[in-house]
Amino acid sequence: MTLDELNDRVLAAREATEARGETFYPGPSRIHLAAYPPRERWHDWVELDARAWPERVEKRYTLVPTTCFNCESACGLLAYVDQDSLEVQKFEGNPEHPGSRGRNCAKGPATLNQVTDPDRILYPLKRVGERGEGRWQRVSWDEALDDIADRIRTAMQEERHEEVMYHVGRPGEDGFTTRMLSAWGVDGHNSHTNVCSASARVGFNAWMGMDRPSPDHANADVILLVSAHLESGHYFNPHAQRIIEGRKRGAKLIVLDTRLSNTSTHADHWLPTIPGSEPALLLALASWMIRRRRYNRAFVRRWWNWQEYMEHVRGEPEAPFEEFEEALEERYAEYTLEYAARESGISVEELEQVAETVAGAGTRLSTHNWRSAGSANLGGWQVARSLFFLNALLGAAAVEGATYPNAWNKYTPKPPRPAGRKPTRWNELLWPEEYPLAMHELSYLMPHLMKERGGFVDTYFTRVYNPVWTNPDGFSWVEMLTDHEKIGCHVAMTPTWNETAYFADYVLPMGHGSERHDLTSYEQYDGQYISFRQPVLREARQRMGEEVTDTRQVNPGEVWEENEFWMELTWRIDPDGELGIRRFFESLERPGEKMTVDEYYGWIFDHSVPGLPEVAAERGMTPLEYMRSYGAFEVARKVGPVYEEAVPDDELEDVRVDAAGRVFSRAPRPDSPRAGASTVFDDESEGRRRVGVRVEGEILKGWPTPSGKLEFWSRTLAEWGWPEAAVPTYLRSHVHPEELAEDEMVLLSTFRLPVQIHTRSANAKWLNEIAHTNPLWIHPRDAGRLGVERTGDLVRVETEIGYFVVKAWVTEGIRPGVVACSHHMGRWKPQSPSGAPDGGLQGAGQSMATVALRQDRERWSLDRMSGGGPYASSDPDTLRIWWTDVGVHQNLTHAVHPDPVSGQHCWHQAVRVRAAASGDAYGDISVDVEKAHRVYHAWLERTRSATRHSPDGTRRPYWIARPVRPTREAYQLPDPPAPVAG
Amino acid sequence: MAAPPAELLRALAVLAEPASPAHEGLARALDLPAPPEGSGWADLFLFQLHPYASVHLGPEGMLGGEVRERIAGFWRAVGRTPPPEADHLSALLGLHAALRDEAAGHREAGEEAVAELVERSAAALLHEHLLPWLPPFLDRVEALGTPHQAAWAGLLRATLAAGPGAGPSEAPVHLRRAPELPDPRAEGGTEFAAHLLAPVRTGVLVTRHDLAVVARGLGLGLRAGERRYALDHLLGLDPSGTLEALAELARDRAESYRRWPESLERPRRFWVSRAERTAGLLQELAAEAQTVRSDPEAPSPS
Repeated sequence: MTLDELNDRVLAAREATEARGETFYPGPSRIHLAAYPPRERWHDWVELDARAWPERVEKRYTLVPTTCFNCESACGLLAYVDQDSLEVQKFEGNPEHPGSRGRNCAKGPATLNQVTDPDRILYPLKRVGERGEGRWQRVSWDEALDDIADRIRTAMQEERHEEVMYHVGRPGEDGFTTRMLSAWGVDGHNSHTNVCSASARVGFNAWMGMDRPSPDHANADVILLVSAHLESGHYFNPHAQRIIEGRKRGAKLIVLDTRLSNTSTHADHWLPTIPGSEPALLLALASWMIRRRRYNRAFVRRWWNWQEYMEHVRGEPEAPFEEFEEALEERYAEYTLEYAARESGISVEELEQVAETVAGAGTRLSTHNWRSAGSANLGGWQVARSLFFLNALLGAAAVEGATYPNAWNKYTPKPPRPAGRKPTRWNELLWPEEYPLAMHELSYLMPHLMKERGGFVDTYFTRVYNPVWTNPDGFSWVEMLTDHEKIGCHVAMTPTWNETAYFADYVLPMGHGSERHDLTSYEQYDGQYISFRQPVLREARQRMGEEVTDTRQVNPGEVWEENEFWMELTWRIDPDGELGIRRFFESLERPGEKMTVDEYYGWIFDHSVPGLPEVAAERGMTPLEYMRSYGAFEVARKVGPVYEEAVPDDELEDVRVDAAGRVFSRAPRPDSPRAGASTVFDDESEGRRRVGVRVEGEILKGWPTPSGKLEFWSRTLAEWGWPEAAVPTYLRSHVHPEELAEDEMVLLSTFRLPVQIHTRSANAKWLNEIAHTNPLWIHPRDAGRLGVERTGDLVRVETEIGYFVVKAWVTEGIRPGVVACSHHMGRWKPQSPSGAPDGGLQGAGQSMATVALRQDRERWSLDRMSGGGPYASSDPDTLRIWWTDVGVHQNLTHAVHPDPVSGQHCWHQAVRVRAAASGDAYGDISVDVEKAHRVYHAWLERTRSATRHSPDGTRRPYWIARPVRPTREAYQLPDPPAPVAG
Repeated sequence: MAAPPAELLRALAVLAEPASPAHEGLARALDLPAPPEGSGWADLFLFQLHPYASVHLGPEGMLGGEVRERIAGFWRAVGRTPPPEADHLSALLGLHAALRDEAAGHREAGEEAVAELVERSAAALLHEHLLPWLPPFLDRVEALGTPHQAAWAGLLRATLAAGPGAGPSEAPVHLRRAPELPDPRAEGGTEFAAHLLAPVRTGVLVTRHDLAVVARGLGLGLRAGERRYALDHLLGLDPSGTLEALAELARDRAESYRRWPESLERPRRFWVSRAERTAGLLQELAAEAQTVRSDPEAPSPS
């Protein structure tokens, strides 16, 4: 046979195989990058049993996709379900997931640890005795549901909707719960965002009208991070793999981080800035580019709202662009490299190289800030504002290799039975009028607000969230949660024990990533996808022909999922439909019956995900079957610069263009399969809706900002009391060197180790073995000065409200004058009432210290009774625990620091560090909650309230996105004050 | 321009990957004997012959380095993201097949000029990054592999030999400028054993199997460990005998290279020349070592 004949034979075999929808070349293979089982074999996959070696024993699996629930990256997972035992054998990556592309960090496979955790919560529990006493009785789901539903129904009947609150950590889902709360008419959505990313969101939102960045690292020439994305930043796995791709293409990596993070070690330029100086450095880079005209003048002219700036700030409405350029240069003239060097501690030479590199990126500059410096400093929202300034100068916005806004790289489908109603009452506890520009709830101020303004939460859900441990000033939370005058009924919905659940009235067991339904979509590259989380054993059993109608049938114990729980609870709140909320979870196909999760998601996949029905049909599947089989679907790729798209002709009807170039039309909003936008604008006075902006004679979609353009100058900030901060500006941090006493240092706590994630990873044994403690990073020079002789020595770290005792790690990986301590460590469980020597109450045995909580009037203390250690359980590995040190809970000693603009808690602490005194023991914590309340007041003084500064008598700018947006009328301040200029 | 059949190359590329059940079907389609199990693959490609260009063309005879970077640059130049092991044989054959498919696509779309450019890229890949090292590598696979692997190597050689076309008039610059085996009498002997294991310097692929044969011939034991460690040990125990045996090996290889077809003229010239030079140098060193054995005061070659 000739070579050509052989070639033809192979080609024919390949075509025949692929025509059957199968993969011809096997994985792993370099030929087609098929490092995973071919998907057509997922339903029946054979592997050799490693434990049977050297025997060749075949194991048959059915591979079921789901979505990781361990952080907000929501990477794809593939559960290997043993067909004989119907147990999950392992989790690997899902190659069909467009964001993670089959790759996972350690937390994904460790889902198996969480599922088999011997200490997990398996049944609904109800408190016996006092809150926090630690005594529980098992109750049925029916009993818990009826009790909780009764309370909520009564609150609704008595028009106390705002007394129902849902406090969420990382949501890990799109739209289900917010739709439900809207349907309930409850303005009680309470997110953790103000202890997390609110600051960066405010900065990005001020520019783009969209609050999150979606950097295209893979195609960038320069990647500029104010974060640690190669190890732990937001969406770190999907982003890290793309940063590596960019690096392979030759991209330069610049990292601003005071600490020598793993990310910094990969950088071409590591800039260990003095904490809080980051905006000064970024503005100096901008100024350098402006002075040299090394920016994209055409883009700035076309897409910045520079005319608005010239009109309102300079009083020159007719000024040409060249005059704006001069004004811009003048405005930033003070930000020289020399100035930045003084503020940041980075040399002028290094900064000059960085400026040259950034300017050389052209439009291929990808940048990111999420927490890090943004979430750490007073005025930290200017980090993102100053960072995106560089993108805006270069035109590196929503083009290949640049930074996109989240909304264009994310797809949230419209659900069945949209809520169609909004809360009518404003929740003062979550949205106090002192913070009109905060984009998220002032959740962590609740104890203080309730303490002096009253307020009562009748039914308080904490959902996979642990404010006692995660938030600053946790003892104030303990006081609030144990006060029946403040919290009527606390329902902790959690898969695993946590410090907040100890103070609950009900603890309801919720599923991990492989035990629940959710739908997610995240901005991780220039594309849009959806990812489906599902109870994998439910799907596995259904593949075997079983009928499963309730996720509890397949989950361990009586562990449930939230979707079915909320549907059931809604029906019990409104059993006869009288309250008008039951209908939102009523079957479309079977009126009068409850909607099922299959119907809910089936409808979405049928109606709201373009392209999915067609692709599924090609494989002979329904869209729901497709998603249950493959777990993810890419809706669009290469979205590109939406702002440059022309507004379609059929959306232009009786058009009016205002003086600022904004275009309004009478054409109705076209029907869309997507959920509604979160940024909204009022119609113009004659009822036309805004459709775009006129740019150089064309009507384009533009940006969802008040001006329709990128907002260099923010009218919103200027009009709501912050004119001096309306353009990218350096606001001095509360830990600026000049704010510190001579013996104070900065404590940096905004980083974590990549294998742990807040509360959720508590009892993941593989992760705990890798990382379980959080020593204090301290430079040798400081250690010497303070008498800390070696790594492991105890030090006492004193904050403004108390202190904690921790071990030192003497390292040159931190700037002198700064100490650092990772969060995500220092878990604890209270000692049992009997003081039994085997430790504390229920909890995660692998990672929690047993502690005694003591209160003496305003002073609280936490004494560590014992650390981690081996113990007997259903998992023999718990007898092999070799570590005792599980870290120190530093957040208890942090007072609240609400930024007056963003509302973000500013995490950096000014501390005094000294060698531990003779009575100090590892893990000791002492806090004065009255001092904490005084610090709250001191920061409250910085605010500029809506009452004094609202330009239109409303509580906050209507256009800015808000979770569970109430009615327009609810935005009105009770007694509209006269507008206050400036 | 003549070129190796793309799908055939792709199938042959897959067969250089770790064993999988699908290999059986591919082997049948190609009329090859049944493939070995996983250990057969590991014996050959993990312990004897490493299917990476960098091992065969790098001055240290090791994975990675400048050769891999150069090949990664080629991937980028043709608009593709280099995979983690850009110089692995399977990746290179797969890339070649992909370029051929791409060219065919352009041709179908009537984009003749673009198709021609992509064809040239595919040819450049063959001449620059595959043919410079594959012929001696495939020789050894035929000699050391299972019947399946030997037949695979023969088929791959035939496929490549059928297609390279005229190609450039000279061997690639990196091959022409590849450093030679240094004379330890002039350059010092510290790295001599390491250099002996760099094929591009010596023209000889010295495998673990070859070292075992040498040791057996000399009546010596082969130390368990990496090849350099084992070779150092042999040179220490019996320098002249070891050098003599390696010289003989190089002569044999030069002889076998001469039998390559005319289409492999340029690599043949290079490999024959290197192997002959190595044989000559080692022979001289062996003779001197023999003298040293009778004169313990004289300096050692290694």
